[in-house]
Amino acid sequence: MTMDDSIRLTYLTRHYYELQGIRTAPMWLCFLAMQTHPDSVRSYGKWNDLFPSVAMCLMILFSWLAGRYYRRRFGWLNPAWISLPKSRFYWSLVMCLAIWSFFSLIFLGFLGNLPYVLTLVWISPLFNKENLPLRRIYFAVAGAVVVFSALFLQITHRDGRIIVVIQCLVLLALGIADHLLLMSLLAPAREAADA
Amino acid sequence: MLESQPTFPEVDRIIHEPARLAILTVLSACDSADFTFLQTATGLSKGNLSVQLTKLEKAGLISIDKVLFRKTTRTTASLSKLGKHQLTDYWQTLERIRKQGASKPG
Repeated sequence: MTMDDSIRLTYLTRHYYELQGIRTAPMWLCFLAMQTHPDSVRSYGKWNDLFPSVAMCLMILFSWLAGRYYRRRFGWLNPAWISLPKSRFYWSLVMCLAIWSFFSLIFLGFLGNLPYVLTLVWISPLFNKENLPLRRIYFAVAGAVVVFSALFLQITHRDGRIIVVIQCLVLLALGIADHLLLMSLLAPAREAADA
Repeated sequence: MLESQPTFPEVDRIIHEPARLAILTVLSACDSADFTFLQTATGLSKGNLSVQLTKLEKAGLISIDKVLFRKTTRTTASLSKLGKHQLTDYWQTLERIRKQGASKPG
C-alpha cells in the first residue's frame, strides 16, 4: 500500500456520503420539472393540482432507491464527522450575504439575493481544504456559472425562474461529477480485485 | 573497529501488512464500516478480507459486530482504542524512519 492509497482511502471514507451524487439527483430533477411545467401553480386542472405532490413522491422514491443502490453496491459506513470548511473567511461571507439577503427581503421585498446565498452554501466544498483539487475546481466553476448567470438575469430583468432552472441543472451536473469521482476513487480497488 | 550502524525502530508487523493497513486506514477515517464497504474500498476478496479481519480482531486492534438487518447478517468493524493508539504509533514510527533516512549522509 502506497501513501497515495492511504490518502485515497482516507478521503473516500471521510467523504463517502458527500460523493453519492446520484442520491440528490431526483431532488434537482423534481425542482426542475416544477419550474418547467407550465403554470403548475396557477392553473386549476386536476393534473396541475396533483403535479407537485406526484413529483415530490417520485423524488422521495427515487432518492430512497439511489441510497439503496449505493448501500448494496458499495456498502455502508458510520461517518466519524461531517466535513465542513474551517475557513473563517467562508463563514463570514455566508453570514454577511445571509444578513444582506434577509434585510433586502424584509425591507425591500427583493428576492434576488437569495440565489447568491444558496450558491455559497452549496459550493462549500470549494472552501474545504480537505477536498481533492479536482472537486474544488468543479465546484468553483459551477459557482461561477450560477453567479454570472444570476447577475446577467438581474441586469437584463429576465424571469426569475430561469435562475432556479440553472441552479438545478448545475447541481444535477455536480451530483453526476461527484458520482464519477467516487467511481474513480474506487477504480484502483476494483482493478486490484480483478487482478 | 566497525562503525555502529543506526538502528531503525521496529514497525508493528500486524499493521505493516498492506491489506491490514488498508483496512485500518479505512476504519480510522470512520466510526464503523460494513463488510461490503471494506471490500469495495480495499479491493480484497471476501475470503482474504475475512481472514485479515479475524487477525486484526485477535490482535485487539478492531472489534467486529454482527447484527441482524432485514433478515441478513450485517458485519461491521470498528477500530478499538488499542487499534487507534497502535496505528498512530505505526505512522509515527514510519515518520521517524523516513527522517532518519533523510538525515543519513550520502
